Amino acid sequence: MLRPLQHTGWGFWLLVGALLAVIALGGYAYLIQLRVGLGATGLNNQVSWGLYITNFVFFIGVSHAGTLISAILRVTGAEWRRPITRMAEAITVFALLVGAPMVLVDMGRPDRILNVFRFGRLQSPILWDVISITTYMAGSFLYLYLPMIPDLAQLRDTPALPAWKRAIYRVLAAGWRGTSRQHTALEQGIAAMAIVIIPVAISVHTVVSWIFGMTLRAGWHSTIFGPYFVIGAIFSGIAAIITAMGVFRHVYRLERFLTADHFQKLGYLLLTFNFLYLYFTISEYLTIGYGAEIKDVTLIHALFYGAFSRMFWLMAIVGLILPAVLTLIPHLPVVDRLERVPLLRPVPAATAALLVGLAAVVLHFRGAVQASATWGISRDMVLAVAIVLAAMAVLSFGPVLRRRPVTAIVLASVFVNIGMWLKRYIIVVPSMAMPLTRTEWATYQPTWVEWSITAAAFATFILLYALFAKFFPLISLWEVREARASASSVARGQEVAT
Amino acid sequence: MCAASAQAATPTRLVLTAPSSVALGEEIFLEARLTTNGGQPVAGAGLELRQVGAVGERVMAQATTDAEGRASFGHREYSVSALTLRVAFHGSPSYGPSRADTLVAISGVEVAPTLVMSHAPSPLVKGILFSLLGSIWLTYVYAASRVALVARDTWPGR
Repeated sequence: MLRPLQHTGWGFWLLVGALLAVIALGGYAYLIQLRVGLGATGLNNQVSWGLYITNFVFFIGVSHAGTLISAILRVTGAEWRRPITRMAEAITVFALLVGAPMVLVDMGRPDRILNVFRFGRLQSPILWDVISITTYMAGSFLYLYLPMIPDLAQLRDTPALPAWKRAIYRVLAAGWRGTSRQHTALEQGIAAMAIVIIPVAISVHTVVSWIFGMTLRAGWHSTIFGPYFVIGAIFSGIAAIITAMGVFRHVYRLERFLTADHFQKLGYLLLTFNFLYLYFTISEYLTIGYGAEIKDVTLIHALFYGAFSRMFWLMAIVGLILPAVLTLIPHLPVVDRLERVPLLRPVPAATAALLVGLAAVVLHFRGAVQASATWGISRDMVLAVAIVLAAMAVLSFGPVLRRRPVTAIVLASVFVNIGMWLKRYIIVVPSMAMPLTRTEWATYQPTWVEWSITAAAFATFILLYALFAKFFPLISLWEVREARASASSVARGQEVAT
Repeated sequence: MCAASAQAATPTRLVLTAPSSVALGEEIFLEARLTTNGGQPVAGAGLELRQVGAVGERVMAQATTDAEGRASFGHREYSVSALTLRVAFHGSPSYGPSRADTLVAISGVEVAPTLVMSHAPSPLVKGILFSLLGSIWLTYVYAASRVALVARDTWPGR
């Protein structure tokens, strides 16, 4: 477990170099934005929230990983949580560190953020947001730090580590020697934080949703936005932790600690929240669509059939349907029978799907009108064929994924991450682009500045996580040790009894 | 009761007699008299009774004037607490249009109290909010103090 802290391969430096390059490009883009103003972005008078606020909502959502996995499982005494809590808690801290400043980036004059404190009005959801996120961030730092103390002491006492690192660990370990009094104090602190961090986390994403919900805009003014956002946040948080576990399990060979059982249990959680989120999504759109107020119908039309339909359906397929299928595949014995269907062998099906999918994409985005006129092929027909073939491709990999449940669940989590980012985009942008008065729909095309800063945000998140993994054990060593000691003493007790 | 002048070839005027207030469900009896400006009654003219609301008017009844130029209307109100009623004559080739309005108060209508939610939180709400926030931060302080306890355990003399 301590090997990553002692040895650093060229792959790590390559990753750090690539991430720093992306961050540098984002920094350069931000400098341009500071100099030129928001004119450097695609934001305008009508669509004043775009990629930055999408990123903000996304990262705040991801930050729920730590709360759910660690706090709820700790409070409920779920023993299997032990190897994954540290990774979850770290995700929370880094997602908040990256997500919260996105609001500043969205401001043309970031210096005016001070006005929130100088002239803050308690009746403004913006102020609630600042208060709740600050509170959450402070709590998350503390909640990450407390369970690390015994491991920091172990690192302090590891001679193989460089002296400068051990000096840092010595300070952070706060003189931990593992006495019973220290154990009691630490457990008290962790228990208090585990309890208090749950309502704080729920309040954070509720308040984020209220920034939208308290506004009388189509698509935002909804009474279920609070729980809808919280469920979405937990959903993307679980996906983020599964993705991180999948990557670190593979890179650092942590199969002994992060077992298939952990992935399976998290897969169940992912599937549960997948269906919950699907339920909320259907409930939201059906309710406002059935009411058929002009503004709501206009927005729904834009989402289902209009300017935002590609993104909406991509979100629905990638973020909701595919993950559910992938998570279920390992539990469906019938999937094995697909191997007997020649058309559904992975290579022919995937190749056909890939080719037709590419053709569909080209036709859809470039030459749909010409193709339709020349060959008499309906654009929708091409898309339908592409969807059927893509489904065949997914099914063809079914038997392979059934034999590799961890891969299936990690793949599902990656899709959820993508889908949930898209979902946040279609929450933020279409409602702003929709006219409030009888004017034209506004257009919003993110510029390279926004894309660069967005890429830099994701790169910063990955870099922070990678550096964390180099300085601290990703798995809570003392908690795992404690669990194993307790399990073996129980086993010994049983032997004695028999 | 009020009156208005017509502007057609032979100007007319309407005089409206109506109660200023009635009880809920009690019949509001209105009598209108259409005359020329010189006081000659206009017989056989069609008059309309309308309710005047914030977003427009709606016709409630129609009547024709008798030889004395009189027409009467009856209406029972069950929902609103104040009713602006208008009697109107559209005019004819011989007589110009005219109209008259009256306001009738309806007593006994239960009016929902106007509830204006203040966005500014009251001291009580502020107190509750800051107490909640304070209790969270106090828990943080408690958890941080456990670190101090851990550290104190290694101090010399313990």
